[in-house]
Amino acid sequence: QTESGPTPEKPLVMRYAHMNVANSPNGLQAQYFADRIAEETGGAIKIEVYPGSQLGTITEMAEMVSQGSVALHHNTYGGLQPLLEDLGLFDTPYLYRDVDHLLKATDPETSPVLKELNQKLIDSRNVRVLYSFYFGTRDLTANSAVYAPKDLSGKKIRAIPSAIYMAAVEGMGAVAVPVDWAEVPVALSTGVANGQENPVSVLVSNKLYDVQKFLMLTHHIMGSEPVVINESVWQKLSDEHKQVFTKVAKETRDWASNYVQDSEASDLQILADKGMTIIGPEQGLKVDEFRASVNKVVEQRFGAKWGAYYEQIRAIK
Amino acid sequence: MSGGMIILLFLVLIATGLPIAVSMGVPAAIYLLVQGIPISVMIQRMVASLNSFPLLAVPLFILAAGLMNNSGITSRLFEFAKLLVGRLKGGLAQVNIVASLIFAGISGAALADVGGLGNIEIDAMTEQNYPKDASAAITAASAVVGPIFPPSIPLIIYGAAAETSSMRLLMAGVFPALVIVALLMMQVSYFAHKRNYPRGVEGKFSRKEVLHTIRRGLPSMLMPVMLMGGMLSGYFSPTEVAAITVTYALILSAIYKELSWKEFLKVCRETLRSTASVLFIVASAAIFAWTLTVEQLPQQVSALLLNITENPAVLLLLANIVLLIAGMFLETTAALMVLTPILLPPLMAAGVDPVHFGVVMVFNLMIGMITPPVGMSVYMLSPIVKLPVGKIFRAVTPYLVTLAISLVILTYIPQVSLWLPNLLFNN
Amino acid sequence: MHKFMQKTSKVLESSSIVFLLALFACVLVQIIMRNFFSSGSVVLEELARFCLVSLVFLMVPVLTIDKQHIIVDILSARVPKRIRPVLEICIELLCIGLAVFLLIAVNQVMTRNWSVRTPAIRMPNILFYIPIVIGLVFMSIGAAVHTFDVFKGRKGELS
Ligand code: NA
Ligand code: NA
Repeated sequence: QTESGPTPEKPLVMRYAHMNVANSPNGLQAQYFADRIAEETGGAIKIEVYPGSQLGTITEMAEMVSQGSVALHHNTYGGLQPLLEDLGLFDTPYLYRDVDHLLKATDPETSPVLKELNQKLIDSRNVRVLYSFYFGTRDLTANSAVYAPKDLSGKKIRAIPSAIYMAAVEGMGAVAVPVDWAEVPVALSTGVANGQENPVSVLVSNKLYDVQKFLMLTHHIMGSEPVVINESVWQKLSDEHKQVFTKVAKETRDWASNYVQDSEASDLQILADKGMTIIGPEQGLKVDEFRASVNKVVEQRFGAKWGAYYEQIRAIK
Repeated sequence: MSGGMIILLFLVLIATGLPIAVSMGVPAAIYLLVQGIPISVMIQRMVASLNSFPLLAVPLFILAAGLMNNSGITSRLFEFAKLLVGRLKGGLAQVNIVASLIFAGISGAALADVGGLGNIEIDAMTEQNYPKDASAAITAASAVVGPIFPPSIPLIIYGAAAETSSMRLLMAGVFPALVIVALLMMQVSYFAHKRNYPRGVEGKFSRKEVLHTIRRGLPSMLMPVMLMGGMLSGYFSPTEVAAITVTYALILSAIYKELSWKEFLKVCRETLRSTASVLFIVASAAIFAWTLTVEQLPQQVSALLLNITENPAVLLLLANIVLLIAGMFLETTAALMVLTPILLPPLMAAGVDPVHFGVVMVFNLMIGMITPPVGMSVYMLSPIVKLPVGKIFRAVTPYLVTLAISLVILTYIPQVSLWLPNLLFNN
Repeated sequence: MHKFMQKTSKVLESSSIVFLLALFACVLVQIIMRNFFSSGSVVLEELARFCLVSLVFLMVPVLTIDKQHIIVDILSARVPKRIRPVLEICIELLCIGLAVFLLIAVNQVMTRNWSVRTPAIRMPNILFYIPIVIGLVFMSIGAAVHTFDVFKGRKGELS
C-alpha cells in the first residue's frame, strides 16, 4: 500500500525472544507464528525467533519488549508481573473450569479482565498482549506418595519464586523452596527438594521420571502464556498487516492449545511407561481437599486485591 | 555490521591495551547504534548478567582463598602434603602437586592457588636448591587442577551459561583432576631421577611429628570432605558452598589467631578488586555475546561445524583447537560466557554430553593460563620468583606436553568425567 | 582533584565492603534457614544478588582510578614512548565514552521502566540502579582525571 511499507526485498525484521527450547511446544508455537506471518505477508515481515533465553533472562526479556530492543516475546502471566503486577492473577490456582474457560478468560479481545489490564499495560509499559495459548496444567511430583494436603506436611517442594506460585505450593501443605531450574534434577536426587510441580510435558522433556517416583494429578494451576508485542512496533504496522497479525494470532493460539492437549495424553503414558506411579482421583487423590486448602491461602493473600477480578473471570461462560 | 566485524574490532581494541571489559563494550555499543536497537538493552544485559545466583560464588570463593592464605590454613595444608609425599625423591616437587590438589578441594577460584600456596611451595623448594624456574613451572602446572576439582567457579559459570546442572559438573571434575595429578606426579618422578632432585624430607618422620602435623592440619584437611559431603547430601548448593568455606575459614582464623581485623579488611579489599575486575568483564561479555547472537553468529558457526562433520570426535577436536587458542588470549570467565553458546549447540547436536564438554572446556582454558602470550598464572609467578616470564614459560613447556595428554584422555574418554555424576545422581 | 578522587575511591571501597559482607550474610542465613527451619526465603537471595551488582559497579571506578582493570599488554607494551601518551588518551576517552553511553542507556531504561519492581523485595528499578549510576559517573570522572594527567605530562599520581 504505502511506498514506505516493507517488501519481501526489504523486509521488516522483528526479534521474537523466549525462554523455551526450540522444539518444545512453546518454542514450536513461536516458530509456527513466525512462519505463518512470513507466508501471509509474502515475506514482507520476517520474524526471527531466539529461543532458550539467548537474548536475556525472563524478566529482562519482558523489559526488552517494553524498551523495543525485542519486538515479540512469550512468558507466563506471572513472569510479566514486573511490568504489571495484576497480570499475575491469571496464574491463580484453581481459577478455571477447563481449557476452554481458560482461553476465554485470557483472550485479549473478549475477556473483560484482560481487556482492562491490557490497556493498562499498553499505557504504562508500551507492551500489548497479542494472544494467549494454553501451555499445560501443573501437577505435583514427589519421591513419596501423596494423597491429601496432610501428606505434604514438612515436605520441601521446589517452587517458582513468585508469590502466586509459592501460594499454590504452600496452600497444598508443603514447604516451598526456591531452586534454580538447572539444578532441579540434582536437587531432587540429593534431597534439597522432595518434589516439584510442573506440567507433564516438562517432566518428560527433562527426564524428571529418573528422580521422582510419584505423579499426583493435582491440576493446581492451569496455565496460559501471553504472547506480547512492543506497542510502537504494533502501531507502526499497516492496517492490513495488523489484520494479518490478528488472524495468525488466533490460528497459532488454536494450533498451540490443541498441540499441548494432544501431547498431554501421550506424555502421561510415557511417564507411566517410565515407571512413575500416577495418582489421580481414581487412585484416591483428594483433589477437593487440595482445592479447598489452596483456595483458603489464595483468599488470604490475594482476595483483597484480586477478588473482584476473580468474580469477573468466574462469570465468563 | 557483521559478527566477524564485531570480533575484529574487539581484537584490535584489546591489542591497544584498552581494558578487556571496555574492549567488549565498545563494539557492542557501536553495533547497537548502527542497527538502531534501543541502547537500553546494553545496561539491562550487563546488569542482568551479574544479577545471577551462581555468580554469588565468585566474591565468596575469592574471599575464602584470601582468608585461608592469611590465616595459616594454607601453610598447614602444605605441611600435611609433606607428610604424605615429602619422602619421595623430588619430594617437594611432589608436595607442590599434592598440596594443590588438596587446596583445590577447598578453593573454587582459579589462580587463588598461585598467590598463597605458590609462595610457600617455592620458598620451600628454593631452600632445597631447586632451580627457580623449575619450581615456578611445577607450581603453575599443578595450579591448573584448582578449578577442575570441586568446588569451582569456572564450572559453575559454565553451568549457568550452558543451563546444565553445576552439581553434575562439579562431580564430573573429580576424576579428571586425579588423572591430571597422577600424570604430573609421574612426570615429576621421572625428572627427579633424571635430574637427581633431593628427597623432600630426609629420614623418617617421628611419631610425634606425624601426630603434630595431623593435629595441626586436620581441621583444614576435613574441609574438602565436609564440602563434598554437604553438597552431596543436599545441605548446600554448589554456589552456597562458597559461603560455608568463608565461614569455616573465619572460624579457623579465630582459632589460630593469625588474622587481625586490619588484615581481614585488607583481604576484603583485595577480594573486591579481583571480583570487580572479573565480573565487569563478565557483564561486558554478556552484551558482547548478545550482539553476536542477534547477528546469528552461533547458528552460523554451528551450521559451519556440522557441515564439516557430524562426527563427535572430530567436532571435539575442532572445539579443543578453538578453545586452546581462545584460552591463550581471553580471560577465563569471558571466554566461558562468549564461547559456550557458540560451541555447545553443534556438539550437543552430535551427541556430546554438556557436562563432559564443560570439564573439557574449563581444562582448555586453564591450560591457557600457563601458555604465552597471556598466561595469568605465569604473570603472577614472575614477580614471586623474580624471573622474566619468558624463562618460566620455557620451563613450563614439558608440563604442557603432559597436560595435552591429559586433555586427550579427558576429551576422548567421556567416562572419566561422567562416571561419578551418573553414579551419584542415578542416571 | 586527586585528593578528591582518592577520598571517593576510599568511600566507594568501604561501601563495597558493606555490600560484600551483606552478600555473605544473606547466603549464609539462607543455608541456615533452609536446613534448620525448613523455610526458604526469596528475599534474601534477591538481596544477595543486589549486593553483588552494586559492589561490582561501585568498584569499577576504583579499578579505573587505580588502573587495575584487566588488560592485555603484550602489544601495547611495545609501543614507542613518543606515541604512548596519544594511545593512553585514546584509551581513557574510550572508557569515558563507554561510561557515558551506559549512563544514557540507564536514562532510557528509567524513562519507561523506572517503576518496574524486582520480584521478591519489590525494589523499583530507580533504587536498584543508584549504585550503578554512582559507579558509572565516577568511572568517567576517574578516566577524565587520567586524561588530564596525560595532557599535563604527569604520570601515575593517582595510582
Ligand atoms: Na576447586
Ligand atoms: Na602447586
